[in-house]
Amino acid sequence: MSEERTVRDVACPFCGCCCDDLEVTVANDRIVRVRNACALGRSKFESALEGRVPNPRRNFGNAVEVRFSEAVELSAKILSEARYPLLWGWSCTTSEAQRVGVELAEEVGGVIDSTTSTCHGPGILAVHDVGESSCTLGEVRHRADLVVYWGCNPVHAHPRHMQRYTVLSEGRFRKRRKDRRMVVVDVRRTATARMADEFIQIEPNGDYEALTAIRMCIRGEELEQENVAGVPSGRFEELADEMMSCEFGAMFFGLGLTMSEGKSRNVDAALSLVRELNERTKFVIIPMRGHFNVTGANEVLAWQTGYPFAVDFSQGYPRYNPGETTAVDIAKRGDCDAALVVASDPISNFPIGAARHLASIPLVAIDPHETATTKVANVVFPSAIVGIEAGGTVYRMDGVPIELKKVIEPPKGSFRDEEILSAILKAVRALRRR
Amino acid sequence: MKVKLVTVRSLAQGGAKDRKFADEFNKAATRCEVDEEDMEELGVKPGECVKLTTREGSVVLEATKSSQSPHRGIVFVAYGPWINSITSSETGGTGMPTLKGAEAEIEPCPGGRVLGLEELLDRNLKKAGRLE
Repeated sequence: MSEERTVRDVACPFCGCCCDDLEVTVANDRIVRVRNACALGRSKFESALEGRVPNPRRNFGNAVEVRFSEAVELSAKILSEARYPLLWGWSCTTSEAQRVGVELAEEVGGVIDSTTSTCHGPGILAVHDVGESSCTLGEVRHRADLVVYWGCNPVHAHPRHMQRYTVLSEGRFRKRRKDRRMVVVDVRRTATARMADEFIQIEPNGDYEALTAIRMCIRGEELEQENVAGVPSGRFEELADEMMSCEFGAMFFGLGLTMSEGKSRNVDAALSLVRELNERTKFVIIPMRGHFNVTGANEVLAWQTGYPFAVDFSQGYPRYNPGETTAVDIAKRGDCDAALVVASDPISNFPIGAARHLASIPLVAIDPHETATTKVANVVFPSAIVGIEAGGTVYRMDGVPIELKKVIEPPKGSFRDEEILSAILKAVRALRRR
Repeated sequence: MKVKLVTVRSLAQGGAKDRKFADEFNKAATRCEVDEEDMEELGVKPGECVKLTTREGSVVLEATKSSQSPHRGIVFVAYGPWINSITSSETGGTGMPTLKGAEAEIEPCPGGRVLGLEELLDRNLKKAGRLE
């Protein structure tokens, strides 16, 4: 067993790029080397065994390790006794687990929401209104001669995006860096901006204005102000010309649009701009999805319930009203009276008001690692790390499904999310029958 | 000094996000990147503490000189529980809190100390009755 073996074509379980060309070398069921990954992916593989949840436990004042079956019974009791449970997370697990999550949400009459609502949720609201001109990342790689990164910093958040899919990739029709122009629009000169042919530094919360200015230029209208979003108007006129004269443009947008003032309206303006550009040339727009399977969470929820996130089963049928049925709003109002968290850390990632409510209600957490959420949870399940210790299906940021591999065995007692959720679902159904 | 607060992903924060109690995560998520000239105006040197305040409350962070200046009047902090302890839960009907571009006040905090994650949770969640 001491012999090294190398697993090839491993897909990376970090960001929405889901790079599927990693080579992971394993000896004695330990990862010894990771090739082709970025710093984020490598760090995830190499530190897989650090800070793990050792065993299932319950914590009602004192943390006590319990058998798996006891943790399942307790979780089922918490979820079935709740009037309005919240089932949160889902972006760092497989679509197979997400599917069981939807079934469980329906069974307990709760709300299922993914980290979508605190990343690209506002963008999805805009897609409902405007629609989206999109394509796969492969098509961008082969054809795009203009790449615009707006409100995103792939060097830090999606480190191989440029290398695999855009300006640094070798496509069929765009072979070299000089065959493509790269434009970055952001509020500071990021590492990504430094690689661009052109960088436009706008004011925070200035995105809507800037996008609207470009739309006006495309329609041939004159910009009366000298400056828009802190930038001389002429810069937007030039950018509009550049966008209209390219052969195949691709705009990638990040949380700079969805988290700033205007939120869904900012994305609305970006989608509208791209729609209008398609009257002149070919242009597409793709969100830079963060977690490796947040796109899958939207896909699974949409095909199972008709809605992509924030789905409320409390009336017995799926209902969707972001702003009301989204997790931060539910927690902030104090509406949920129990929560199940899968592969996410809302106690760290939610604003304090929402986090404080979650910490005050019965909470079940499923996670490979100790987090702020597992620290305050009443029931904790250790799980296998998806993409390292468990395989399954995930969806890349452009909606292409990718198969994750299991490269090592999970620690003893850590099960797949899908197995844990199925056990809870079965126990909930048994309680209901009683 | 009034500033716009922008929370961000960074390589260091992202690489340590599954090790919340590790020093690397603490370091990555408790740094406040301040524009060079703003730092001079505040009279704060790199490595010194600053206090960021919003309507939700205050948090002490370590000031660092931004490598991406100029961005006067804007400070950057990596996503994490420290900055979320002063983030509003208001979503304006979108489900999304304002994690970029929120208004904040920054001031020097001589003698201040950046809390560890356990201490921070203890301080913020004690009212919830879970961490006695």
